[in-house]
Amino acid sequence: MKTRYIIGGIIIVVFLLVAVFSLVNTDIEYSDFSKARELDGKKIQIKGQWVREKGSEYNSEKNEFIFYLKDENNEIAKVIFSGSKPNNFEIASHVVAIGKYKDGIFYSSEILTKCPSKYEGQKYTP
Amino acid sequence: MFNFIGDFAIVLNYLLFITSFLSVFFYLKSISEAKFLSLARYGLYITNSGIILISFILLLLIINHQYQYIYVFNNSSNDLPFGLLLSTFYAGQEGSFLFWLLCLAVIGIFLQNFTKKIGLESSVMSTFGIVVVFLLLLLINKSPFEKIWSLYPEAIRTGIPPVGANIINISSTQWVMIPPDGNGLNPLLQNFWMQIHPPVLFIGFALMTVPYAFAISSLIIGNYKNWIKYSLPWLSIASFFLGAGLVLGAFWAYETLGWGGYWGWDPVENSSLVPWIFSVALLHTAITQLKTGGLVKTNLFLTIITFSLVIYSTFLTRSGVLQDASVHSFTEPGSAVYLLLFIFLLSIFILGLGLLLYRIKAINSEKSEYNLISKEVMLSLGSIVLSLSALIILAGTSYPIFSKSAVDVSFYDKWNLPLAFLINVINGLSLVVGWGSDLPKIILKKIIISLLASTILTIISYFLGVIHFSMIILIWSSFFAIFINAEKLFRNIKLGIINLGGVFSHIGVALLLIGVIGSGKYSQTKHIELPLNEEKEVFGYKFKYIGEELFDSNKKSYFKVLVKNSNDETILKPIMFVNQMANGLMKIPDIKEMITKDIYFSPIGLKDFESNENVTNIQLKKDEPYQLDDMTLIFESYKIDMEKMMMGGEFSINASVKVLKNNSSEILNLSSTFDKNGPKYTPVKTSDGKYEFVLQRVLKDVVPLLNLGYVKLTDDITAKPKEILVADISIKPAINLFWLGNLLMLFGFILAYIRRKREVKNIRD
Repeated sequence: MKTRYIIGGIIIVVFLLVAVFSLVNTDIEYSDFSKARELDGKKIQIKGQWVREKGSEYNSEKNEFIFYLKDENNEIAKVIFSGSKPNNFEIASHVVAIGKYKDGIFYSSEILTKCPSKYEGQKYTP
Repeated sequence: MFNFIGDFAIVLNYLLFITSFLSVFFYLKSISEAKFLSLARYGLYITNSGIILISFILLLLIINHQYQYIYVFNNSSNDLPFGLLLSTFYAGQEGSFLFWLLCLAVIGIFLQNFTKKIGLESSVMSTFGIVVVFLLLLLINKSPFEKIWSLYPEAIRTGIPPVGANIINISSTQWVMIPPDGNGLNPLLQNFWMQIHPPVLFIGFALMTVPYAFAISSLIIGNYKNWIKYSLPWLSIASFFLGAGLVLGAFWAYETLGWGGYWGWDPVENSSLVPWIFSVALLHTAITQLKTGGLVKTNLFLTIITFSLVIYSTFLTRSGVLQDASVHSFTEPGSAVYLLLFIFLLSIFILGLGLLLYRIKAINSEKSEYNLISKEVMLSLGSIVLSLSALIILAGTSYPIFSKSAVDVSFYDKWNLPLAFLINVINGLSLVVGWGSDLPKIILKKIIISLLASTILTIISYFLGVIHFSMIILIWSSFFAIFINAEKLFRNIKLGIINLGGVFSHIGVALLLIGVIGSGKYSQTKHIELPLNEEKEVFGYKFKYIGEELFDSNKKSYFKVLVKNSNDETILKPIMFVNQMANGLMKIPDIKEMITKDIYFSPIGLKDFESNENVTNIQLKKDEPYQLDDMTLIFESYKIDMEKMMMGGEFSINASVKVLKNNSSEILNLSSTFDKNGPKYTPVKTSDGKYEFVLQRVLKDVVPLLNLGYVKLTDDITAKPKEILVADISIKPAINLFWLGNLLMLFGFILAYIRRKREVKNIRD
């Protein structure tokens, strides 16, 4: 009876250890462009704001969406996202781009757009 | 009247907090002294009817467009159809808490009736009441009855109001104008499924309170035997609703949101999946306790964990801790709600775990000797594997809270793949082994046909394209589970369908895993451009974009795409429209559904040649020649309307560029205007018509810089059709097995509910 619990316990502990190990290995760090340069080529995510003034463009042949992102240290970098313009991109209060930084360009494989939920942020004008 | 009832609801909210608290208090007292029971019941009756009344008030305010309430203003608008208007009840955080409470109030009525008959009213209803108390407290903090001027004091005005304006007088001199229309519902949520998916999920959340209440009740009164059979029907129906909520969400994501798939391992999805998996694990160990009297502690523990994770899920999605890790939107609810939710979570968890530890010595499970190959062990193994899967998902989902990172979705796939294999194998084996013990030889005899049949089907699927080792293993185990269950189904159908809930669910899970293999691993996507009336072939189908058509009183349009293969022809209608409120483009895919696969057509954009998107960007230094193909460009001068720029209004930038080519030269005068909505470019062509330039911006550096965009206008372009529909086309094999599997699984839960309910009734009678 006791040995069964011990064996079960060991299995669970080993499982969890391996899980944590792989968790740390597959993690995608929140970062900014300056850190991204250091981590050259590692997959990271950057939270920032779309630089509206610089516009955005979509290249339909390459299926790339290109825009400029200002990170939380106000550094601006070009982002090439492999995909079309994400839903809610224009109204997003901020954007999280997941990808790799290379030679001054952030190559993004995934973009999350954060909306002011249900437009609650919208100002009521009496 | 409408102004008054909102204030009334707020006052009532406070009162109900007190009555619910008193009800819990008196119920606890009534465990030892029965005379308090009637007081406790009054408290419960008042609380339940009060919650229903408050909900009714919010409904009235929403239906009557009372935009002086922030909640109504922010979540609904005049143009919403009635069904969606109703759904704004739970579209925002405040309303969703109230909806949860409403579910609890209704469940509470049934639960009180039920527990009264089985003599567990005091201990069960007191625990149930604690959850109600917490939610009422949350609702006080996040009330849907706040008026606009409490958030925007600048809305309060004095003086004479304009004639005909819809106003509310706050005092003799002050008034506020009621907004004529609301901000409306997020366009992504304006969908049929918004009316079903969230309420079903909330009902599941609310129902999960009941097993928890039974577990705590058993720990309070010290009777650990009976609670499980009373809890089982509630647990079955709760798992049904939570599971159905998840499936509906998956279907919504797949069918209309255009997220490309039904599951993205998003934290919001995960956080409801985790308690559901635990509840399924619990269902299995609960059956063991019912049959053998064992696993009592496990069941108490799993029940406590399951409900704690329901609250944890709420905490994750409502406290804003996962802001950056999810595609779902959250609002910062304010620190008070954050803290309350955290205390709520801790209380539920500590109350359960504390009581369990306190009683742990007293709880004596039946210790029956059983073989390793027995149903008990199989069910336990199944629950362990399910729990591990849930723990993995929980770890990945919670990870961003503790570190400044998030996990890659590959993490979930990688870990759940072997677990899914184990689940399939145990799924099958658990049916052929009996309670107590069984001999390996007999087992082998029972499964040999299934082993052979599944191996043959696996070989067939290999030739159909399932070629990866991990997928071969997984699909084999799925077939194995299906065959064993199907055999059992045929053999036992005479026992009545009611007793076969487990078999249906097991077949469902195995089927849906095959669906996941097909539609997940072997889905293919191609990016294509469809010029108007030009046929292109993708995945063996011919696609032709045949034009745009307006609908919904000309506000939206869909693209008509003709899809053909040798024997049939369909028109797909993916939708794209600009949403005014969101100021963004909404895209809704369309799906050609076939038995063996889906063709998933998601529109990306419409390219007409006026707004050419193949712009190349270059930068010129002032007075420095720039070589572009066979031309030399010189940026000669510029002018920025500084005064207007400083004012923040619309301003323009002009620049002139000299173009030298084959001894000829010309000056291009470029100009662009900028306002808060962004730039407006005016393209200028070279005299030979081969290039088109736009001024993007001028950087006033030591040497001023000019950013230009240009497009090459080659001859063949004019011959091209005007419109090009850009889209992603995916093929999703076996997707229907995924949906069918889910339906069967849910059907099994319903059967289990009916069966367990009957059993309880039989015991009682």
